[in-house]
Amino acid sequence: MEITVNGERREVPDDATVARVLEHFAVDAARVVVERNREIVPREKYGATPVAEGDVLELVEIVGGG
Amino acid sequence: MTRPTAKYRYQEILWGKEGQARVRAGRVGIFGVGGTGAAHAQILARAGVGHLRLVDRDVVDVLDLHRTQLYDERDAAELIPKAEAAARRIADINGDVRAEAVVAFANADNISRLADGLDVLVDGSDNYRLRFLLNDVAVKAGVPLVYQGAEGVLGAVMAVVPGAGPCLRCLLAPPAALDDAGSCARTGVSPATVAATAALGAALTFALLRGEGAAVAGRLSRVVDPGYVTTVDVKRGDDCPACRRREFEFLDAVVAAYVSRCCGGDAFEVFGGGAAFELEEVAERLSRGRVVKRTGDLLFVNDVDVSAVIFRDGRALVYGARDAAQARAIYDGLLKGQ
Repeated sequence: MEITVNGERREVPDDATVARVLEHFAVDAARVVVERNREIVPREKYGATPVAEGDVLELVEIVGGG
Repeated sequence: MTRPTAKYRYQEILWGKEGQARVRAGRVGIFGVGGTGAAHAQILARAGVGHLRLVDRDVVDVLDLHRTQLYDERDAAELIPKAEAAARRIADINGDVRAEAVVAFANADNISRLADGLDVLVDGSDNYRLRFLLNDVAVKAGVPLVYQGAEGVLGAVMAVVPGAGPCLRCLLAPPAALDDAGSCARTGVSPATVAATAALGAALTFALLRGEGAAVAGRLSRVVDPGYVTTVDVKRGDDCPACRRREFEFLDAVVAAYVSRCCGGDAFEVFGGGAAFELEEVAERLSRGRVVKRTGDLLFVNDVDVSAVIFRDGRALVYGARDAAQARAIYDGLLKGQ
């Protein structure tokens, strides 16, 4: 299915969760803030939050360098 | 017509006389003046922020120059401490600004003093330990903090406004590799990302100085090179250890020995965990059989087998080591018994 991730249309597996999407894009779940359809998803709910066709995700990594 | 205000006319149109006066009266501490910190400092200096305290533990390295705003090849060749090089350059850019250089490793022992008397703290650091330490001191003292991070093509900024929005601990549990500043060496870092991150960060600092903290609290922005910026609104954690439970584990930590890879170059930073050095004694002992040069609070050791910069506060930058263990061995070899 197709969703929007950080402004780009991306293909992800059907019946995905937020946790699966992070895994799919190799994003470290421990240091990313996830917004799904303009609502922040609490980190402890990444595994239980479904992602549906057409969803809009923003993934914001709390990066460490400077 | 009064000339003195002309310099800032174009920003005063945006901020009004009162906003401009607040920016001019602002006292800002920038902790780490590498990529994001130096670019942030330059923006504040040109805008006439009254007092900039520039805190950095490192010297200018040629590997910094592709992304840093305030330094040049001569600073790198002479291994000038970043804080000093930044203060000197800022004095040339805008004489209205008091630029205070602090060459030091900001840690749990000295951070409260370094942050004292400031209106805004700016995170220009390259490691999570300093970042969380700044978060602790900001939350505890009720002083706003601008988080900035840049790695690879990604950058992120957020204003931590104690009481009005989330802090860094609300967003992130401390990672295992707290002292690791080696992301640049692994992932590279985009100069455009660094500049964009610092620009977004400086906009937050200006908003905080103008007294608009409530409006920017918890706005987390992400930048990616090329061309995408997004902002999400983050809420406070219900059980945040720092801003809810007021447990300040980084501020309460004991300063321990460590070895970390520097972000800017191929150096390792080593701290043996002991007291400050008597540089005069170290210089005298090392100069038997080695090339040693002393400038201010720094001691340069250059030899076929070893190259290091020794700081008065007990640290050394060790160049050319294969890994952390070898860097520690070189440090011990040079400074044993100090």
